[in-house]
Amino acid sequence: MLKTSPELLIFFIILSIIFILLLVAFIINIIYRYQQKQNAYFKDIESLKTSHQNALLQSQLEIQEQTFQNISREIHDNIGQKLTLAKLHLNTLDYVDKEKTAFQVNGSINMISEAINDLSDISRSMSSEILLNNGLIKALEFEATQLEKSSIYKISLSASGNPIFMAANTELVLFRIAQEAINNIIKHAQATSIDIHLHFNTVFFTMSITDNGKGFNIEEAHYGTGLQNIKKRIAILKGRLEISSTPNIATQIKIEIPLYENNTAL
Amino acid sequence: MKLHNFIVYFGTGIILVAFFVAIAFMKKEKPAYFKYVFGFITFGLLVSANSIMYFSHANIEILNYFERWLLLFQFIAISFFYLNLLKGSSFSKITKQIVYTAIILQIILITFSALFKIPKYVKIVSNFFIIIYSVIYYRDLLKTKANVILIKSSAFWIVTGMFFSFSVSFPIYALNPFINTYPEYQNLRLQIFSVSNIALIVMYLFIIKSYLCLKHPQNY
Repeated sequence: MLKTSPELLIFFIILSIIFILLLVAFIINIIYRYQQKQNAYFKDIESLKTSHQNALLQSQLEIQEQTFQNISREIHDNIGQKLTLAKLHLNTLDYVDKEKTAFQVNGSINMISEAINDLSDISRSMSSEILLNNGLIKALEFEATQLEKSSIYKISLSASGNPIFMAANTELVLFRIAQEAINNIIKHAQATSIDIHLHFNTVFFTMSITDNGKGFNIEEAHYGTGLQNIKKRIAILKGRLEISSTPNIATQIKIEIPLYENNTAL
Repeated sequence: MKLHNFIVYFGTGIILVAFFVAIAFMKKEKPAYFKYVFGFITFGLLVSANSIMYFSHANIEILNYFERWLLLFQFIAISFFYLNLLKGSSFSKITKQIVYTAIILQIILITFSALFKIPKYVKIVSNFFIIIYSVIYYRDLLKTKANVILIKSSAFWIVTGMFFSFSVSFPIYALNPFINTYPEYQNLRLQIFSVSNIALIVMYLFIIKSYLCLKHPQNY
């Protein structure tokens, strides 16, 4: 029982010391709990990074697989046919009829030359050397030049904003998206002109590919493998895809990706 | 020189250092709440200078009058610091309500100082509200994304300094009426208040540390 004031005072002093110790314990507890939360947060970030890298790896494997399929198809449908035909011509050479022989040999030479050119085009379009050495814009310029050689398409390529080099993997994925979109136009659109526009602002990179082909009804259209591939790759880059199409007038594919994330995360 | 007086002079020196550190970081890019911290340090320096004037046996009434208003301005600076710090958090609305209630209550207390035993009650009330603000900050800290390294966070150092200092001072000021009842313990009284002054010194050291955190800035 506290009877006198000095005892009460000492009691309050002891109480104050206990209070200060509790206070320090409280602050340490806050720091400890926060630290635990932070460890969990960093773990989450790490696992997100790993899953992002896995997704990217998966995408690269898919791109590689698709590239092999393209090469296989091109060799079988185009180069193989030309070489077979050349072989057929050479097998059926009639050495007596010199005029016919000359015609067949010339035809074979032309076909073999075409096959060599096709091979070299395939090799160039599949290689990412230009992309790695000169960046996305130069690689797309090369792609456009190759396409224009066919004389079927009028290609225009433009860039606005402040063009920058993105992470090599990001540029490769974007380049393959552009190739996929162009392949879709060649296969289905019956277009005569293709317009590729790149825009760089401080936060986003935008790529739009527009053609003047027959177009399609987006709601009714069945998304084929080509578009599915594009969507998958854009998702890896944490980007956005917009498709607009007016039948027989124009179709536009617009891709927007955040620049910062794709320059640091990959 | 008595221990109590030494602590007051030493504390004033620390506040002066904090003031110069704040001036040195004046032009550096920093969170908006630092303007309130600067206000807090400035008023703290004036309160401390006012305390030193007590030693020269100047007019106590005038010094008390000044102290009340300086404490009010200092309290308003702290309140706005917390308001700014918790802006955008889920506790923003409740903090705003508490801050305005506390400021109005403090103004009423000071205005009617003749009726109440001021400034000690002013200090009890202000300490109480600052502890509440700090607890809200800690709750918010544990509720939001843990993406800040605490020892590099300016806000954490300031709040922890204030929380520690005002929590220590709170029971001491609450004891004040009891201690005043027994004049024979005047010597002990000064020593008890020295504990509060030491806690204030710790707080200003934490504030200096918070300015030094600006060398490696974080978002919060």
